[in-house]
Amino acid sequence: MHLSRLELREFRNYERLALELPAGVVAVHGPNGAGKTNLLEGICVAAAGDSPRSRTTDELVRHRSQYGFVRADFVTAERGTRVEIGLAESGRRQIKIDGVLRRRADLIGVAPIVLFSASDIELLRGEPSGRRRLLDRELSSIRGSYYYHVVRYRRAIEQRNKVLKDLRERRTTEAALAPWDSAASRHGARLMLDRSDFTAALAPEAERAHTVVTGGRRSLTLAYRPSVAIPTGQSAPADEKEAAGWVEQVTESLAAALKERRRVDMQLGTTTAGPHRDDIEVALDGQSVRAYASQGEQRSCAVALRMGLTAVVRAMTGEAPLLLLDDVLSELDERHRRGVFAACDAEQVMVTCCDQQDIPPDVLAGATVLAVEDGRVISDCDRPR
Amino acid sequence: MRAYPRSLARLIEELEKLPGVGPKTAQRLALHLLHASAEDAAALAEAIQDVKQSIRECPVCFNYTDADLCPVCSDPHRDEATLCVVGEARDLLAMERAGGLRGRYHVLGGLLSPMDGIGPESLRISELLARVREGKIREVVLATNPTVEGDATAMYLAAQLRPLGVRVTRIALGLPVGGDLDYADDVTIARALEGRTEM
Ligand SMILES: Nc1ncnc2c1ncn2[C@@H]1O[C@H](COP(=O)(O)OP(=O)(O)OP(=O)(O)O)[C@@H](O)[C@H]1O
Ligand SMILES: [Mg+2]
Ligand SMILES: [Zn+2]
Repeated sequence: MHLSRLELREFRNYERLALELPAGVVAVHGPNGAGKTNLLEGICVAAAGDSPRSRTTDELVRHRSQYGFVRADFVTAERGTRVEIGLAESGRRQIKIDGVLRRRADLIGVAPIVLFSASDIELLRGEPSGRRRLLDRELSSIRGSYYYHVVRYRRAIEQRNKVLKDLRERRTTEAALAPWDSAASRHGARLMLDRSDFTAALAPEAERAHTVVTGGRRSLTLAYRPSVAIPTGQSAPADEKEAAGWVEQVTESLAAALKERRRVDMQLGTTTAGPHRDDIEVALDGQSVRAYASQGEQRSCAVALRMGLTAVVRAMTGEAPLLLLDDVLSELDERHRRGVFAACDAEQVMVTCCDQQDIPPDVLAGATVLAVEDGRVISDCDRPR
Repeated sequence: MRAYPRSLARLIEELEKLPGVGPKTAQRLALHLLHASAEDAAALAEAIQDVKQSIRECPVCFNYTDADLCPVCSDPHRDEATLCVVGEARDLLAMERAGGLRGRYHVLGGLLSPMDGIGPESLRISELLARVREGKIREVVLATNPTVEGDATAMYLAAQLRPLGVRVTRIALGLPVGGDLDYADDVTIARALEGRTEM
């Protein structure tokens, strides 16, 4: 898939922008504060309905304006899709797909994108919650059923926690827990299985990408670390009956764990086991990236993770996602910068940098180059065709 | 609302309290009523008062009624062996519109939701168990909404009902994801009724 046209109006520091874009590498360069990240953010808003970096709509609307607008034309081999997002300073947003009003969930699968941003490094360094959010975000965007189970699991846990607090204060009886244990384990089991499958699919792709980016001296491993153990080493069976039994089995182990923790949970007034406590372990040659890797190494791992995601999304949706790389090249030496472009497996890659010299000359020669300054694309540099 | 005479402003204010009615709609409705004939306006006012005065809860199933028993409970042709459990009376009305059930109903008066302070004791569960204990009911169909709360409520009821020796089935599973029974279209409800599953 690629983005053939982008229009921004009163979005971040853009008053008005209209761009026609070809497939291939698109290099966006310009000084700090020019609007490079904002440009990629606009594309994310069109593809996902919201921004990866801000929770509120009003931040997206240009200062002193009331309404912002993003229009993007995404093109696949089969069809073109126009997504239009209207953003009001008041917080309301409106989503149209091919001119028809839609809900956010309808954007799922319309325009798969993968974004690398500087905060990905925080993802490796930081708390497990960030990595869970990554899993939830990615899985929700490719599988409607995952989103359904996430929402319901969270709700069930919230309700369960309330009962636990009530129990602690002796306002209810233990029988009141049972339906929420059951709901949490039913939906939680689906999350665990999908996360397990997804990590299993992602791990080899990320490792492969890491080898390309770094030249392969050290090996990157990813492992799903569920808070409640599930039978590992195999993915869900393809046979429908067997798969149902498998779900049943995981549901039961989760239910058993909830039951086992009941005393502790009651004392703490919160649920201490389940997918809301999962993690993904990222390691280089078996050593935790979080604890030991250098800054450049962490960056390469984070890039490889995103590249791996592109491959997984492609395999799951049959469509190569649009790859957005924000400020990926800083902190990397020349070899690794080359490696990044060698590892890109997408129809279109948009990459931002401050200095276009950061992009290897042969890549730059074939790229569409956009110079951004102060919320304007000032040149669409000549590009050999 | 500075430009409106006080009585008109008051009507708009009252209409705005209705679900799904924003300021613009309230204004449009109020102006419409203003231009309606005196009879039409009086009929509406009377209908509203009448509903408040005459509608009560059916003492058996907790459906709406303006007689001793609700229309379903007083219908002798209804199958006494099948009991359908719903959250709210409006869900019952939705089921009736779909016309897929020949049995009777039991309205719980809500769904389990600890966060909203609704536990088993806030629902009409003991009344339900008492009805089942009378012995005529063979099958209880749990038709609570397919939300997390609806599922949990069904789960809880199933555990309570099974020891009483009745067949317990669930029908919400065929309904649209996250949808309220109230909004589900009749065809979907009818289809869901066919596909009830053992609990
Ligand atoms: N709602 C808004 N209205 C107007 N300007 C905004 C708004 N939100 C952010 N900006 C401005 O947009 C400018 C560009 O931000 P952006 O993050 O895109 O820069 P960048 O080109 O990625 O820079 P860097 O190289 O430092 O990453 C910032 O100076 C910021 O103050
Ligand atoms: Mg930036
Ligand atoms: Zn009745």
